[in-house]
Amino acid sequence: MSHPWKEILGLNARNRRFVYPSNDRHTIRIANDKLMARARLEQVGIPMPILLGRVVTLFEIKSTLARISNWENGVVVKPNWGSGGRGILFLTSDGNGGFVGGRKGTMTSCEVDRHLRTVLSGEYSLRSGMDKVVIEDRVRSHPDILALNEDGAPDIRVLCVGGNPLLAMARVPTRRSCGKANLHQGAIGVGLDMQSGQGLTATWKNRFIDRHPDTGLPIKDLRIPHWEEVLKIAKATCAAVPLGYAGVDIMVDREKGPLVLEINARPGLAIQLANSCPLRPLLEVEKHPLNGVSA
Amino acid sequence: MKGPFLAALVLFAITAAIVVYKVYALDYHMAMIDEEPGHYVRLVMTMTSKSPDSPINVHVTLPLEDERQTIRKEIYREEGFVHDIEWEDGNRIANFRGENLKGEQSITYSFRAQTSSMKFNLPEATIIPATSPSNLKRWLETEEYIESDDPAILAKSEELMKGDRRIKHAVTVFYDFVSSGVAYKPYKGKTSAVTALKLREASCNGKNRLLVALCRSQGIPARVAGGLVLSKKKREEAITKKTTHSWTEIYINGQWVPFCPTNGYFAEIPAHYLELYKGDRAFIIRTKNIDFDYRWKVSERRSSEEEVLYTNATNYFNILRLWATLEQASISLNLLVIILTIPIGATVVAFARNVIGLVPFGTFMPALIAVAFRDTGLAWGVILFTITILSCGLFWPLLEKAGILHVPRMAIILTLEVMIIVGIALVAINFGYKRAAAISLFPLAVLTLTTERFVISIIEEGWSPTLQRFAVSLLVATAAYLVMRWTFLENLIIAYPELLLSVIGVNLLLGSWTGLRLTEFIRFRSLYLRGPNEMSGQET
Repeated sequence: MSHPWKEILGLNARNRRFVYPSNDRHTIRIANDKLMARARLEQVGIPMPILLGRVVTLFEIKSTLARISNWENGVVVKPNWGSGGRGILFLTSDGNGGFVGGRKGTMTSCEVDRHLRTVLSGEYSLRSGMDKVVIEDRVRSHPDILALNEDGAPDIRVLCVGGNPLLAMARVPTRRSCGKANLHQGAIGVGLDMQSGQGLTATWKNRFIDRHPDTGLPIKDLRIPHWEEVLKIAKATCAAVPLGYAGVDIMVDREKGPLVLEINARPGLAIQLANSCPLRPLLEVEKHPLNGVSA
Repeated sequence: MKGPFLAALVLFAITAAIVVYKVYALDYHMAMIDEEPGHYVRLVMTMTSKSPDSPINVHVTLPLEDERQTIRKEIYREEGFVHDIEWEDGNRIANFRGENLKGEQSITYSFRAQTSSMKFNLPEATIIPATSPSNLKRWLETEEYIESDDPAILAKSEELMKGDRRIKHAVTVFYDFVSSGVAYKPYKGKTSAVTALKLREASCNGKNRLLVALCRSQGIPARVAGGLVLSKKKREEAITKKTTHSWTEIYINGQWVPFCPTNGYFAEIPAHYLELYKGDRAFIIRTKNIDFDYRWKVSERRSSEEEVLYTNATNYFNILRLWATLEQASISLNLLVIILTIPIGATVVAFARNVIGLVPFGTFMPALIAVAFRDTGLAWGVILFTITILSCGLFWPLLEKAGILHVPRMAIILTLEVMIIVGIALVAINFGYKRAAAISLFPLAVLTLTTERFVISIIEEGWSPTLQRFAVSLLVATAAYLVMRWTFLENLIIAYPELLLSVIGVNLLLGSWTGLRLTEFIRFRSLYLRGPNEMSGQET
């Protein structure tokens, strides 16, 4: 069954009819600021990965390095105002002052220091000027979510319209994406059944697939654990940071369950490919206050 | 939703109104580039009848067409008059007739002329023929002011020829005498050939009459011809003139050969002579009972882009006399063209993004790159940009290893870039490619900005997406360049700067459009071409 192309939501329509009218500037700023968004979400008790530290000035780098050296689990280093995964570093302390992670596989303390400085300088920031660094505990994925691929850390993107989850996809890394859950870098997008969290269809490099490209396991093997909880916190996130058209990124921790990573004011369009479902009919049918008129 | 559409429509309407007003009410014409050079010529005659009961008659010789002169698009504006065309004495004459006309009347005759120069080789040995074809008898006769049978004329012609009856020799000595032996003195009245000979000075008409008389006295058919001199001066507004010029045509070996003893053209006619009439006559003859005045307006249409641009920019009806005013602040015409076409380049970039889906570095970087390409031209511009930026990219891994901080790192890249540019310039000049060395401030600034984004993109996304994006940037820049340098468009925006309102309108429409981008059609093709039932199978 194929769909008429008019039903596909493109960037022009997404921006003009949904993102700009439904998302007000102030809230977008909060959403783009990981620390501010985190403050909002924690206020209403939405679970997130542990915040290990933040770096605002150069003076704080040293102590932060010490802290992440001592953290047994892995950490994620993120620019506060970054987007699209740029500037993000996954590190695990090797116990000797060095780290496992980064492009080469290992990084010295010096190299990590430099990365922190680079992030601070605002290189990965959406805004001009200095940035901040956010350091979070690394989520250890629930085994069910690793059904398709043991390596890498998948996440779930829930598209919420008018505060309600509309579509969702799981982003599962591949060898090609170097373990990253980034579709543009080669991860697969798995469309999920909104009732059960079961994998239905998937897309890879803009084509449909029914098996994971590396492991060959069928997409239907994937079933997101704690699915109702996932939807619940997605909805709660949209209530706490009120964006009318947003993508909530969630990971499922093996012990703590679903955790919200961030909320996106400009969620991408690949979710249509992952679910083999064009968005326009869904957006227009529900008579949202968004449709053609500002919310 | 409707707001932008309405606003766009209003803007288009305003632009159209201004343009229509200029063209039809103010008779404004945009000069155009032609493949071949030419002139747009207008004769404006104004008259007021002193006795409205009697008819007004105006007879105007119209320019002729021959091997060196082409006349196109003749237009008559003759309210209150009718005209017919007849041939007389080798001239094409328009007879305008109007009756019962009160107040000031005007007749405008305009045409497009293309003239070229022509040189003739005279036969060395041919003797003056004893008889001439009967249709040329007219040009052997004596006339009131061309007294070819006057004894003084005859004597002078014999004296000059010294018995040598070769036609080339005769014509040469007559010409030399009239051009050097008779001084030029502008007279208002009519000087006859004999008078010119006696006084040894004459206006150009007098000189011509003398030359013609000398020729005719020896049985060589000759006549006066006249017309407009189209100015050779470069930077002038639409030339308005009154005076016409005359020269001589001598019938040699089956052809009418032109000579101008006043300006020194022997057996040649230059491109800037526009011929209007043949024979010793005024080109306008009219009834006496009117106050009459006339003016020629000539605007050049040279193939030089600069000339046309200049004409459009200095036209009186150009809104606010845009460039005429800006020129006082030493803003060059070239700069004004760039300024006015940048919004168009930006619109091209907006179109490339929102309709096609091509996303370059920076928002309007391609438009700026397009401007930077003006100095070097498109081909060299692309080559130089690519070489310079890729070279900087190649230095990048070295700098990355050095592990120094970001901003000083960028400063090093830019220093290297300047060295590369200067190096390329030196090499290019040595090999004779001067255009490739066209470095000026603006392109340098754009180059450094683009390099910065290029390198940052390598850091953030890696080489492959960066190279793709760079290629897209060049592609869009090329498109913007071709549009911005489209000569017709350059002239259009200079002639009608109010078109900028329409550019706003176009962008209002572009910004309201919510259709799928071309790249999205490609990206989402699996959604609308085939459903998920047809899989591509496992990929490794």
